[in-house]
Amino acid sequence: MILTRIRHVGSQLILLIVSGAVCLFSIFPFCKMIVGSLQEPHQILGGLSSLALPFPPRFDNYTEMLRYLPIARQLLNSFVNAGGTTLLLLGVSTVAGYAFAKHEFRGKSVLFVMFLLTMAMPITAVTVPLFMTMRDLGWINTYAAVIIPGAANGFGVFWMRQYIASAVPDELLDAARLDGAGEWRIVVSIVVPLIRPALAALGMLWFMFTWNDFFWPVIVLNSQEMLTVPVGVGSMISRAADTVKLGPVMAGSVVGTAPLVVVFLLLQRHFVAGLTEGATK
Amino acid sequence: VPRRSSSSTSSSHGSGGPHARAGLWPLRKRFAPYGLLLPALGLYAFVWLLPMVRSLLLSTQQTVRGESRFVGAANYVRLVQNSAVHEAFANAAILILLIVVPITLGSFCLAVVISSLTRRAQPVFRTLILLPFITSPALTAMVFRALYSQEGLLNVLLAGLGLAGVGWLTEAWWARLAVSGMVMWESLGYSTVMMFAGLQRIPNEVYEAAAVDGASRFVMVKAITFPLMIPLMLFVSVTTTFSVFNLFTEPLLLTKGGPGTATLTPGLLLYREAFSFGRFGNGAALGLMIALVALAIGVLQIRLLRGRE
Repeated sequence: MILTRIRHVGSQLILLIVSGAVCLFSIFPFCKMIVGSLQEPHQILGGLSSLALPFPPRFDNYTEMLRYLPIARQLLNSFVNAGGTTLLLLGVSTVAGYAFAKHEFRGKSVLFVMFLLTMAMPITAVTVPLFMTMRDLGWINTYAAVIIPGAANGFGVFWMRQYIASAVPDELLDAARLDGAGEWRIVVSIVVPLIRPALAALGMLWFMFTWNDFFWPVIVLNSQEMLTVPVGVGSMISRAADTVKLGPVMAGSVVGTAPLVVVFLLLQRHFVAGLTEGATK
Repeated sequence: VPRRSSSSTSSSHGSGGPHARAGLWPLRKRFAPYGLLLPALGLYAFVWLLPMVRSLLLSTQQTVRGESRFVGAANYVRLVQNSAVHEAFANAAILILLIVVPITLGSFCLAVVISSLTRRAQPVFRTLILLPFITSPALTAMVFRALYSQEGLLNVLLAGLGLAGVGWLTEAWWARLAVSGMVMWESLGYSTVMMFAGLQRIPNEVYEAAAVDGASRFVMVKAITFPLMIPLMLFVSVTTTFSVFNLFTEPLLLTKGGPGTATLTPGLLLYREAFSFGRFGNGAALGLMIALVALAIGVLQIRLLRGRE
């Protein structure tokens, strides 16, 4: 009896230690980011002293950051790009997903496979020609240059088709058609209200992807006034060879990370559903 | 709900029923799906289809001082012979090996550990391990550079263990490990949450018979859970392979692809060719080469995803 009890307590303890260590591994860099943003530049890299939270905390890095990064404007850019991309993706994917889920038509499977293929295609496949198109259209340094390519991902269509097929009953659609509702009207007044959870999950996921994106925005954005926060901070990192601007970079990292962490903590139920539903069903 | 004209005509015909709207309705019905697909088709044609065609054309041209001329497969031939291209693809393969196996097995074990915790503790751990996944690598890169620096915390830890410090960002293999470390930190949460969700979907009855037979937890995990999770583990490893193959931000901001070409990835090479050196033809050809390999990985991923519908 006592032995099994000890074994039980022992194994629980081991589990707790393992998971505690992994959590520490996950959040340690964030702690370092916050501490670093309050330290003197020479403390940030140094060994053990790099862990000490300076007291009283100094906010010079944040004021200095404002000299290098128009951070308020860049936060706004991040919101506009991430929000715009998400809305466009949701709109286009819902309508297309509905067509694939509830209609039969010629070429359906071929078209669906084509949409799926864009899911398996990195943006590198079209980077150069798409950049040239953006340049020809005069879209370099505009929101459209980030939003439009970001919304064209087959993941959205795939996801919406799956969800609509299972969440929207055919009888409801037939009844609406008998009432004379057109297909677009059906999407707006019947499909959308029924798939709110899917919209929330996919929307949250895509907002995060776009907020964090780096490769494409770094190519089509090049004025400080149009950069997103990750690109603004990232280009400071790749430029600064010395340690002089370390402090402001750390401060910018905190400012760019904070909004997403807050949104994530508030809406993580949707977020986890978005991540897992497509693949584990 | 405003009624459409076709249905109001049918009601005025009284007993006409479906035959009365036979003229207009089937046509509308037949074309309605295409109308619904139109916005998506337009968007995807603009972003994917037209650029792919342009890419094919571009990749057969060479641009010298703004003037383009047709050079056939010359760009491809040069790329295939180019040692930087070999190195970039080899590095991608090395990084995939360094990252995918530990992430897949590690996240499986971790998901099992989390599922044995109390119901109250589970969401807390899930939240904490997902935090790295939701943050931009561009914003955490500086922290990792600080940890990896010569006098940084990792070397202090090594010194504490009586070991010599290591050039995490300046020696080829250590730099590859450093990049892998950061990527693992980012993606461990994602794969663990996927595995955890998969574990939740295994019905309890599966374990009950084994529990009656007195099987230990370890035996149950080995004989029941592991085999049931193999499809999901495959999916997670292919997803991770895809993202590691397309790695860009981490090597750019940690090592700039160095030392030498030790952490140069295909994406980084493309960026350099096209946007640092302005060789668009080369860049387009390289982009298509990358796409071909990525597509092979991605199609595998989709097949795994659809196979379990």
